[in-house]
Amino acid sequence: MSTDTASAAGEAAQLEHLTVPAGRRRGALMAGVEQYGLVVICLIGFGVFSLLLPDTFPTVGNVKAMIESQAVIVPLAIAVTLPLRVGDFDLSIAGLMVAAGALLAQLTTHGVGLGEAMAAVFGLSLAVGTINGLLVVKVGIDSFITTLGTMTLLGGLAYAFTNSNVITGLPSDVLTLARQNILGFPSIVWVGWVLVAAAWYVYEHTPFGRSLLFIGGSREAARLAGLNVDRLRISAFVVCSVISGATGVFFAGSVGQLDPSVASQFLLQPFAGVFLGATTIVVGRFNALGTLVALYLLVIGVTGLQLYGAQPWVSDVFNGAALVAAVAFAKLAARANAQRR
Amino acid sequence: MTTAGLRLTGVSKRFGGSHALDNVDFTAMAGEVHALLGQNGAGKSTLVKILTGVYVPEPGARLELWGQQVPFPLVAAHKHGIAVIHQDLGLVEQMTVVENMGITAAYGTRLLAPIAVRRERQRCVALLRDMHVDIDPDTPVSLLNPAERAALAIARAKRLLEDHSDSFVFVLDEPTAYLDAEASSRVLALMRTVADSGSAVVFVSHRLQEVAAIADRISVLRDGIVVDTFRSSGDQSGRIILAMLGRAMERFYPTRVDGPRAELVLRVSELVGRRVNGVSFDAGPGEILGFAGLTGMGQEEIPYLLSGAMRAHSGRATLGSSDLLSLPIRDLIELGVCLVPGNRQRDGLWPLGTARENVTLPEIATTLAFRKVRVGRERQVASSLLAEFGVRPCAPEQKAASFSGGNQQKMVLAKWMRMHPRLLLLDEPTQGVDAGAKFEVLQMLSGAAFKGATVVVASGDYEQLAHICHRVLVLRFGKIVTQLTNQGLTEAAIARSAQGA
Repeated sequence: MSTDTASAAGEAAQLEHLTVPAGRRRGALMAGVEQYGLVVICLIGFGVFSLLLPDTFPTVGNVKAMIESQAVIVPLAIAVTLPLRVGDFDLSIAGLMVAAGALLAQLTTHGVGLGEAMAAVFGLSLAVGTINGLLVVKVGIDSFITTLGTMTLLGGLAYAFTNSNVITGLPSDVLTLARQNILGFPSIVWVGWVLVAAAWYVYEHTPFGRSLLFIGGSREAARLAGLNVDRLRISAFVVCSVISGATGVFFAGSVGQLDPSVASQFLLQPFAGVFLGATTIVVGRFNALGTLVALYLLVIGVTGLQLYGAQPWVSDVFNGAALVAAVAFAKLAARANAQRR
Repeated sequence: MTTAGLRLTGVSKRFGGSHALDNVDFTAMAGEVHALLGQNGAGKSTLVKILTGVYVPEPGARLELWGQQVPFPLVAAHKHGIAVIHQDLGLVEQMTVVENMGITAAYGTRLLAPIAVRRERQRCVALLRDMHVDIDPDTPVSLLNPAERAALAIARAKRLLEDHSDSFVFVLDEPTAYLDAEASSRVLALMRTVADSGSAVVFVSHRLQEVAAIADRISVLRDGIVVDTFRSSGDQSGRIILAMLGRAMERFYPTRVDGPRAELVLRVSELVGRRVNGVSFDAGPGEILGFAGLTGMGQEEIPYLLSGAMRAHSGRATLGSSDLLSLPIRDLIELGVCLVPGNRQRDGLWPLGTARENVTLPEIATTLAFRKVRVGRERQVASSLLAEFGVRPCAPEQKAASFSGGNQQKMVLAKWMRMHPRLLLLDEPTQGVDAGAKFEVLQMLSGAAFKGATVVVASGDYEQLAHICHRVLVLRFGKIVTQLTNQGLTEAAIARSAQGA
């Protein structure tokens, strides 16, 4: 089948350079629509809700609330782009975030210093990433199954760390770390943005970022070109886990308490953002900026609907539907493009 | 030979402003093998896709199957007595012959009704016997040889057609592209048998010799137009090439460059891989060394073993003073050991990456991980590489998958040529590459040898080996049985020793 599609694409390509300039201009327009479509939808969504709800939606308070609601989702989403770029899944991100937060909360409320507690979190994250990576890459277990296992395991660990309680009364330095106000936003929001910028640079401008994508696109071709495929895949898992664990530290601080049962609420949204984000900015590739745009689009939709009077369950329905609709639309657009050519 | 099985008239297909097919007429008679030839992009796949119902032709096109007019778009083609068999055959490896045979016809039962196992088996044996093929219906497909697989795919198609019609049109899309000479001659014989039983067979290919050997008639497509249709007799490759390219090709193969010029640098002794079992040879700079053999005899492993892609079981291989078998791939690449794999879609390219990203990959793999990539410079490098090695279109930002097979292969080679290879290893370098591009690909090999590389080519295309190699080693069951050089190096000699004659 692959040779079939490729040969069709080949024939289309041969024809392409024969097309008249007018066709090419229309092609460029289509590419622009594809690239920035989601950004435009994001802006339109904001505009529509601002017209419908002039008193509650376009306010500074609401915009800040929307951004802050994505504070831990953004770093988790960026974390998961790493394994996704090499073609692996990591479902353990949210479980690790909560387990790491639980570990930090338990240690700091029992008199351990923030520095030592963070070192313990770092150790846990490193261990989880390494185990995920080794099981997937060296043992050869499917990444979906491996991380489904570690996700469940970490969910249990979170309860173990907290003795199945909600831990409250975190020390002030933990709270300050996440809540420190910088130019109107708490530090945790800035951490996410800096991460997006860093990931953008690494993905789009460095050999490392390109190598990850090459491995995801053609593992064998990457290996034969001299890339150390195993090491890069493992490192993607490790970095993903370290970011997820670090997010746990900020998560505990920003919420101010640690409930070990919340992991499942943070799993779907990062994935939705990453997959939706792959339909924009760098079309067809998991990318940092697209992920950020997608997450903000989702939160605009959900918040707008809720302010308009929708029930809370609308957020899951909207997130799920938006993901499937956007990815389906991107596929159909690509197919229509191929047909037209 | 009087009834037309398939008659297409006035078929056009436009994509955007250009014609993929322009008023094509094509007929395949009962009992005839009609070869459809053309370069990649000539419109062959478009025509096949119209016959499978994927594309709808422009209004005015007519299709007759066994005298019955059939409207476009073509739906449920099998009900009209036509089956298209794709190159990959669509067999399920792990399932048995009889299971594969029934799968497209839902085993002749309704969804939840039990399968009539004995009836299925009888039918399977009978269908295969019609084609003079004798295989146990319980054999898993993974154990079948290529000709048996092709027979199974055709028999399966026939089974589906039989329920609706008693005369059949088979369209085979490049059935022999990935087969060695021996296996493809058996598939061709099979097609002959099918045609002799009264079916019309359309054979889409770009392997010229095969076509002359088997076809009753030949039609050539170029730029969406049928430029020539003629009765096959003897060697007409000149006429076919003229029709395919629109110009005569003075030479099918580049001039052989001088042989080894200096001391031997590649020394291989007692190499053992999965199939290779104790192979020793030397080669020098400037030499093009060929490896031939039937599929599975081990010759196809040699490039992979020497490039580090496949781990050798034992033996020694050195290039100058470097031990090839112990170094990681990255170090081998820095030494100038470059592999052009046989499956370029899977192993040679990142299909969804751009041409630029593909040709600059070796550099990405060897620079520091977090150093900034200079895309502008990459683009310049890529365009000049694509231009230098004749990759068309010269579009560095286009996805690799959108180039034709020949151009993809030139892209893979261009990637390595830039690294000035000392040892260039290739498996089936011209597989699925059309005639014009084949010449260019082979020219790139000659060019590398001329600049002092040792070139090692494994191929089942004996004619090609006989033309470009200085020396050909023939393997049988993992061991070198013959070395052919100079006057002794002919296509026939390779074929004879490959078959153990």
